[in-house]
Amino acid sequence: MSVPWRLWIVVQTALAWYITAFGLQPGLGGLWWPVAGLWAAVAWASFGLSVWAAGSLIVLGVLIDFMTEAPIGAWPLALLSAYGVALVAWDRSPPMPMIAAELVAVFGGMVAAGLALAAAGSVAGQTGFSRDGLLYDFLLTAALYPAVRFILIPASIRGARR
Amino acid sequence: MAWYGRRRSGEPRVGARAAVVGLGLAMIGVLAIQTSSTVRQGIDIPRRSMDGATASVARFSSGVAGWSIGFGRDKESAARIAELEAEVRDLMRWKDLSETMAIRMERYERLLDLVGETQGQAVMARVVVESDGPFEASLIANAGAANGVREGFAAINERGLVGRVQRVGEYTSRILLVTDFDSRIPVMGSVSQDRALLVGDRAFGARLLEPETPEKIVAGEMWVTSGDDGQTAQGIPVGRARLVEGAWRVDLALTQGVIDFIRLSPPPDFAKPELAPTLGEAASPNTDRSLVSSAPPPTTTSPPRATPAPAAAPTPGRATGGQGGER
Repeated sequence: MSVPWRLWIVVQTALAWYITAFGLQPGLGGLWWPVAGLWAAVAWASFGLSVWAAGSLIVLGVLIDFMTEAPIGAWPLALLSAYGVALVAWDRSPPMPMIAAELVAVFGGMVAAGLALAAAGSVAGQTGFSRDGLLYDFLLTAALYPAVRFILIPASIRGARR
Repeated sequence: MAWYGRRRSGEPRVGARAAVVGLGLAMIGVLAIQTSSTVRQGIDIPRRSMDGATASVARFSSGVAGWSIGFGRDKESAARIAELEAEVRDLMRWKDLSETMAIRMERYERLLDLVGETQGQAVMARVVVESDGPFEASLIANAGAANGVREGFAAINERGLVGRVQRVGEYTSRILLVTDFDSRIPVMGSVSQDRALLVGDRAFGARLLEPETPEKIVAGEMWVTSGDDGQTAQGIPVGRARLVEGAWRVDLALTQGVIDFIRLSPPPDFAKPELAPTLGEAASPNTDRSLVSSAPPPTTTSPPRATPAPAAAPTPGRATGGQGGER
C-alpha cells in the first residue's frame, strides 16, 4: 500500500473516531447511531489484506473501547473479525458479483463483529451484554453503507471489481 | 494498482496473514488478562485521561451540532429563553421556601435529639457524554476531583437518582447509570415500605431483586433509595414499580427525559461504629434507681454519646443541595 493510501486510511480512522464520539453527546445515547468502524472494516477489505489497515482498525477499536467503557480489546477484536469476513467476501469478487460480495461483507461482518463482542465480554468477565442497542446500531450502519461506500472505496477499485 | 496488485497476482501474503491473525490473538490475550483486578486498576489510569479527551471531543461536537441545528431558529430560541427565565423566577421562590424549611427541620431535629443524615457539599455538573454501548451504560460529567467529586457520590437530577460516580478524573467523572448491569442500589417502596435491591437491566431499565415482602408491593408505587448501603441518602426517587410476567420491574424516573444537569451528592456522613466507646468502659452498670426518671442522676460521669462526624453548619446553599431539598 502506497504512502498516500496509508495517510488516507489514517484520515478515515480519525473520521470514524469522530463520528463515534459525536454519537456520545447527551441526548443521543438512546438513539440509533452507526458503527463507523464497521464501514471502515468492510471498505478497507476491498483493497486486499493490509497490515496497515488492520493496525488502524485496532487503534480505532481501542479508542472506542475507552469511550464506551468496553473491555480493552473488545472492539479491536470485533473490527478485525468483520475485516476478516469482508476480506473473504471481497476475495470472491470477481467472479462473484460485486454487490453480492459487499452484502456478504457487510452483513457477515456485522454477525462476526457481534459474536466477537459477545465473546470478548465473556473472556474479560463482563457482567452483561446488551444486544438490543447494538442490533439497531448495526442496522443503521448497514442502511447507510450504500452512501458511505462511495467515500470509502476508491472509484478505481469499484471499477476494477465490476 | 499499487495497493492491491500483489493480491491480484495471486501471490500469497503469508506474513501479512500471520500478522493479522497474530493481532487478533493478541487482542484475545489482552481481554483475558483483564479478568485480573490488578490489571483493571492499571487500565483505570489511562481510562481517566481518556474520559477527559472523550468529554472534550463530545463538547466540541455538541457545539458544532448546536450551531448547525440552531441556525435560523432565533424566534423559537427567544421564546424558549423567556419561558426558562420565568421558570427560574418561579424556582427561586421555591428555593427560598425550601431553605426556610431546611433550617426549621434542622432545629426540629436538634430539639428531638434526632441523629439525622448529615449531607456534605453537593456539586452541580453538566453531562457532556452519554455512552450506551453493549457493555456499559454511563455518563461523563464535567466535574471531577478538582471540584470535590469522589468515587461513590450519587448522581441525582430533578427526577431522581441517575447513578453513582464510578471513576473520577481531574475535571471529569464517569457515572454508572442505574440501568447498567453492574448497578446495585438498595431501595424501598414508599407505600409498602418493602425493601429490595435495584438491579440494572438494559432491556427493562431495572428490576427489583429479592424483595422482602413482594406481596405487599403496590403496582405504581414510587420506589426510593433506602440508604441501607450507607452510600446513598435515603428517600431519593428511583421509579415506579410495575409487575411484568410475575417479576417486579421499575420504570425509572431517569428515562422520562434527557439527562443534562446532575447533582453529585456525597454519601451520608454516618458516625463510624468503631468510634463509639465500648459499653461499660466509662459508666457503671444501670441500677433500679438510675433507670427511674425521677431519681437523681447517677454520680458517675455518663459516657460520651456517639455523635456523627461533624457536618458543616446549615447554610442556604447546603440546604438546597442536601437531602431536604430532595424530598
